[in-house]
Amino acid sequence: MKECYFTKNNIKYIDYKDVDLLKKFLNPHARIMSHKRTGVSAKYQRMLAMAVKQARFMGLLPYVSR
Amino acid sequence: MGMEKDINKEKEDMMTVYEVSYLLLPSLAVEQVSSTVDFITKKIKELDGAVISSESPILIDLAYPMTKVIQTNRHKCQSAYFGWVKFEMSRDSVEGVKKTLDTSDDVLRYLLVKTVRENTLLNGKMMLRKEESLKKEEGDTDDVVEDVVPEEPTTPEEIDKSIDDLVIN
Repeated sequence: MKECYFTKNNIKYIDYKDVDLLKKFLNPHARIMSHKRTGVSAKYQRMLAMAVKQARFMGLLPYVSR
Repeated sequence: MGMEKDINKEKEDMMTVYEVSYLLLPSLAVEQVSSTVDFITKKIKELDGAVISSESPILIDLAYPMTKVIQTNRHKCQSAYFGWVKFEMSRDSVEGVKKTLDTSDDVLRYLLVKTVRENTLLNGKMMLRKEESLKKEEGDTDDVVEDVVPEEPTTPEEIDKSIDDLVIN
């Protein structure tokens, strides 16, 4: 099992402005990757989903790609 | 009754940390961008908010085109000035910030979120900034290369000198 990225790196709060971090958890179609694939814990998967959606609203990330 | 008042007072004293990020129209001039930012920060201070941190707007390419309707004109934007302010404010006054941004003609879009006081960005600054600095660093390396280049013409002279020395000897 892969360890949760956010627990491992001691990240408490996922910022939606941190585009490079968020991009790690998007697939080529700009969809949010499953926690099964990335090993992110449920708590941080919820925060991550929120952050990605906020970043999309502000035009920092695309809704759809390709 | 007295207790109710106390509770209300407590509620009023409770300050929440908010962060507002905004996209300004790309058609704005540089002075207009800074004046809009000043206007937003002034409004926050008027509503008894305390600014914690902020980042001044930079022109970014949007991930998808957005439109802003001003009176009857639709402005389609592919890029915009993105900036943010983190501030502390009571829950009741934060509505005022929303209203000012709603009515502003320069703001393409904004997002108001609750956040934590601590710095939440991993690098301290946004990655967009970092890209710029990286470009600058690349420029620096170019300078270094240029510094190295002038050394080369001097070397043939040195060689000549050494040859001259040899001839003299």
